[in-house]
Order: sequence, then structure tokens, then C-alpha cells
Amino acid sequence: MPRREPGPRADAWRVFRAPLLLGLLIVTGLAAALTGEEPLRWFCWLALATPLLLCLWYPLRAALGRQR
Amino acid sequence: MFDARTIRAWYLLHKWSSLVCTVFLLLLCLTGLPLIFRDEIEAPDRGVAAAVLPQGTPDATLDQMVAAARQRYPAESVPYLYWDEHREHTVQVALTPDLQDPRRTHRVAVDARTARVLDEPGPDRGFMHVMLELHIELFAGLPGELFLGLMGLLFVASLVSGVVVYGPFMRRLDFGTVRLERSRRLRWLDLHNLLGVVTLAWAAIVGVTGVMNTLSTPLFLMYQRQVLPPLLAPYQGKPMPEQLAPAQSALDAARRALPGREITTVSFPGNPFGSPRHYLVWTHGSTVLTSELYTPVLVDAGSGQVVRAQGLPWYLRAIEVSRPLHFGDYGGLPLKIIWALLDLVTIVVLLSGLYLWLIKRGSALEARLAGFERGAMPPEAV
Repeated sequence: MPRREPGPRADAWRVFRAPLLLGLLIVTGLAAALTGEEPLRWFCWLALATPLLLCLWYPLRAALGRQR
Repeated sequence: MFDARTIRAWYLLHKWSSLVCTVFLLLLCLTGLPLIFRDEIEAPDRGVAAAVLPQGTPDATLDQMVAAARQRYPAESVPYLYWDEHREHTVQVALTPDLQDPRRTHRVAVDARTARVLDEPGPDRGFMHVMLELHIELFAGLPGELFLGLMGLLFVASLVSGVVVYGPFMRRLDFGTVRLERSRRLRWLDLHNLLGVVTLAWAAIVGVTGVMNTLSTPLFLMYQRQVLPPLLAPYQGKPMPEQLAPAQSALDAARRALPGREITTVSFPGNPFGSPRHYLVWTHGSTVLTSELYTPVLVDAGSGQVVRAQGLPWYLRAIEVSRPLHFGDYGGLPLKIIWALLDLVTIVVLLSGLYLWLIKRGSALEARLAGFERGAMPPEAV
């Protein structure tokens, strides 16, 4: 017997929670630099670097996990 | 989240919208890469510098600058001139033998304070120019530009449909799962999903703003057609005045009408992107955001009086604001480097998508989707 399914809405939230947060981070980062203020530019750089770091982190974690 | 048939429809949309646009998107990503660093790459080669004069030396008049340029080309007309943002105290005077043919326009750089000719920037050629032409219009003018806009729309469709199919694929997987130990196909599927979803918002913004930019020429012509006829109506059937108001008087009038704004370009009467009877003085603000927001001041070429000084309509405003978000050139060098890296990630997403399509035909993925339809298989069992 398959185990009981969680509701579709809970599923969607679980799957899309992280992408949604990342999307918000990117959008606020891009908007922040439009103001041209120095501290906000730093926020922009960090916000936009986050997806790049994740692109490295998850494959790296998988590769390390495989070696163990 | 969705029933199986809906998922399959979205999957087909993702597959076909991506397949059609992938080659062009790869081209856009590759040509866009050097364009991000255009300022840095072109910086060493800016031509003859303006004379070193004490600070506060006033500018010559525009008419003196134009006269200096026209001395070299007495038979040609001036469609516009602009202040070169990369060369201090330098005005580029455009000249053309035929006002109706913008492709024959060339430039003479003039020292803004001495009104002496500095040099003549050759026609745009070379690597950067090829990249720019390919990126904007595939060397095919407006049709090429609109075609790339269409490809951009397909890219946006593939992003949206990609998000929708991401749901069922990831239902039983943790965010960021990369299964290296199973098949090569599964490894690339996971990477495609991960890199795609992580950079999604950036790709969507650059995609949408790119599409908006492809519409700028037709939308500007539309605006011109709304604004000019009422202003030109009183001149219907009357000949051009023998003596035009000096260009400098148009500039001064525009400065008085909008004090504090920077002036970038003056379009002369007869320029097809201006007015047959007016000088068009383009002004903008000086902060990161307002420097994108232009206000054209129309100055009557006969009387030298300002007849209109209003900001652009919302659809052109939207394109203006979209530009920095497409170019990534508004947050210093770090943002440009990030832009380039995100561009590279997008190339990996495009290529992995292509790879998945090439090796998948008749294989597990299709079988799996058929499985969704029968309502049988859990999505992660490949």
C-alpha cells in the first residue's frame, strides 16, 4: 500500500518554498541597486551571488556525499 | 498539484517553446557576455582627448561645434549631436549625406570648449560591433530585432512552463537534490532543474526586459506620431523659415525650461527620429534611476521657443526602466561579474535541456509522463 499522500497544497508549498524565497531575494536585490546607494549595492551583490553559490553548493554536496 | 493531463500539456509547452528558442537564446547568451563588459573593453581606445584647459572654461556654442564639423563635410546635414559620456568635454556631431538613411550617418568628434575637431570615430566595426548587431538584430534591422523579441517571448513561456513542470518532478525530492550515482540522464535532469529554478527570477527579468527593448523602435515611432501632428499642424503648407534659430538658442531654451537636468543629445530639424520643424533636446536626471528617465524638450526651429517639455508616456518609461535591468550595468563591476556568471549558468541550463531532449526520446521521461497519465507511478521512480 502506498503511504498516505499529503495534500497537494502542502506539496506545492514544500516544493516551491525555496524557489519563491530565492526569487524574492533576487528581485529585492535588483531593485535595491537601482537606488544607487552604497550599502544597498552590497545587499544587491550578496543577494545575486546567492543563487550562484547554490549552483555550486548542491552539486558539490552531492559529490562529497557520494565519496563517503 | 495538477492532474496528469494538465501536466503533460505544460510539459509539451516547455519542450517546444524551449526547442524553438534554444539556438537563438544560446546566441544571445554568448554575444551578451562580452557586451556586459563593453565599457571596460572599449575604455582604452577612446580617441583624441579634448584640450586641457583651466576648470570653468565655458563651452563654445553648439553652432560653432557644428560649423567645425561641417567644414569637413560642407555638403552634408547634421541629424543630431550628443555629449560623449566616455570622453570629457567632447561632443560627437553626426553628419549624413541623406537624412532619411540613418545607416549613412557618421560622426566627427569636436572639443566642446575650443570647437576644434578632435578626430573622426570610424564606422562601428570590429568584434564588439558584431556582438552588438547579432545580439540586437542579427544584422537584419527591425525585422531581426522583432524576431529576437519573439524568441524572447518563447523563452519566457519556457520559463513559466518549466516552473509548472518543476512541481511534479520535485514532489518527493528535497530542494537541491542532485542524484549523481544513478544515470547520466538523471544527473543532468537534476542539474537542469536546480540551476534553472535557482536562477529563474534573474532569467525571467532579463528575458522580459530584453523583449521590451525589442519594442522600443516601433513604440517610439508610435509616440512620435501622437505628439508631432498637432504641433506641426499650424505649419501645414508653409515653407521652412530661411534662417533657423541657432542650435545654441534651442539648448539655452531647454535649459531654462528644465533647469537642473542633464542634456545628452540635440536632434536637429529634419531628423527622422525627431521633428521636421523642431529641435529635440533630450534631457535626463542624474541619479541611477532618473538617469534612465528622459524628457525631450521640443523647441520651435523658427522662433527658438520651447513648445513642449513633457516626460515620455508610460510605455516608453517602462522600456527606459527596463534597460539597466537587462544590461546589469548599474551596480558596479561586481554586479557585472555576477551578471556574466548567471549568463553562464543559463547557458548550462539551455545546453542541458537540449541534451535531455536528445537522449530522452522514447525513453524513461516520456514513459514516466505516460505513467502520470495512468495515475500509477510516483514521480521520482525513474
